[in-house]
Amino acid sequence: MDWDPKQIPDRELLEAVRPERDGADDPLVKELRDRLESRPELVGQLRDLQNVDRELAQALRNVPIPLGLEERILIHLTQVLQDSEPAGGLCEDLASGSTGAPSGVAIGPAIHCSPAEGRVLTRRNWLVALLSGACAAGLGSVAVWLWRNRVKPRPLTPTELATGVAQVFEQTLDQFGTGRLLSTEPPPAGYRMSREIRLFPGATVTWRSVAVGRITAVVFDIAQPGGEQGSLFAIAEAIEGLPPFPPYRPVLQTSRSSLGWWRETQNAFVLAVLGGPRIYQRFLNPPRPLT
Amino acid sequence: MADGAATVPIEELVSRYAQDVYRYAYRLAGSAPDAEDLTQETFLAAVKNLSQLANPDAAKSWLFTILRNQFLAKRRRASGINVQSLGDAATELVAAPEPSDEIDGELVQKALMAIPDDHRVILLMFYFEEASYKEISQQLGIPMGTVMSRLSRAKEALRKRLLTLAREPN
Repeated sequence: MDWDPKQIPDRELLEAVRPERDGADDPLVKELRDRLESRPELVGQLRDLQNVDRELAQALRNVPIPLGLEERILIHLTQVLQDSEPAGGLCEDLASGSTGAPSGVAIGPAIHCSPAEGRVLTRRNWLVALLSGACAAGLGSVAVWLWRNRVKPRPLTPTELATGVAQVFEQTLDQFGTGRLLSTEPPPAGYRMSREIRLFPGATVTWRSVAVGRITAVVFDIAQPGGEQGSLFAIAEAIEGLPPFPPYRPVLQTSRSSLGWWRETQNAFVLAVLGGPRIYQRFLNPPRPLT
Repeated sequence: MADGAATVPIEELVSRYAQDVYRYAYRLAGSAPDAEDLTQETFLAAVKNLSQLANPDAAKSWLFTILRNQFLAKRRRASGINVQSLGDAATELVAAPEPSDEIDGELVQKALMAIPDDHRVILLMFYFEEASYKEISQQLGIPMGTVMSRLSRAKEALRKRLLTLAREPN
């Protein structure tokens, strides 16, 4: 204790010291007890302050939690860590167990590691490769049988779709607006703009086709007259778990872009914009009143 | 593996503590979008520094510390925002309001946002983290006497602001 407890003003002592929390041996708790014993008028003050403190603490913890918070955090972590880790970085370290990170750490829900490149091929590797080739040839008939009796691939989850779109959106920004003008050429059958998208007078919309994983999407690149850029990814495939209307706040944010996703009849849409939530919201029609 | 490092899966950390971190972030930052940004930044920093978590039982207070540091660093970067000091204005004693059945959470938030950042942090450490004056002093690196005087002034100012807001017509 670098100062004399007796010098502390009553008010500070009453406000800062909590006997039940700080412990009976605490010098300030002792000082508080001494003062309460010698000046009973402080007892009432302390009781009132403690009551208000309890209510304030309770009120401060009463905060509504937005829907999907945990999911968005995990998506964000996955996205950022994927973006920041080069091949052979943390991903490979996690796989080999050589990282300094704790062994029980699982980074995000779905991080895919790229194989390390530039490994030297030794004679042993050649032998392994030859044997692998022979095995592969021997298994050819099995593969053909499997191909003929293949099951459909597992449908994408909304999270996988959004993560894929976020990557494609940011990796193909140089192609933004290079597609065909929507006003002069319609998109392929089965793909259309969403009615939820807000186009300001003077907005330009072009479309192009891209691959998002194994899915083909038509991207509507929208340049608003204010200079804002956004891309609406239309997917002619039903994806389970999408909400029936666009979220008014982005569900996923990276350092550059904001994304939200929804479905309309048989189409899935992902809106990706360059910028934060306010830019994202400018691309959506205002929410309609419930009728 | 770092000595004494914890083995907590990130999914578990998020599912167990995301809501507490968000609540704290909301009270610090004052709006839902800022709170969510702050929450995401907190978990990202946590993932990157997970080896520093020696005791999984202390994960919540460790996350709160990261959150506080993220908030203060952000505010320092955006210097000039909300830099007014309580100064002597708040030293005037205000009677503790009569305890009511319930204090309006939004009113508390408004009152909280009128308090300077450094005082707000101390208030939330006291109320939200239930930290003692000693812990506040250790974690913020300020003398205990300073903690006590700032805490007293900040609590006073919060109550005063709450009373004013409660008396204002809607």
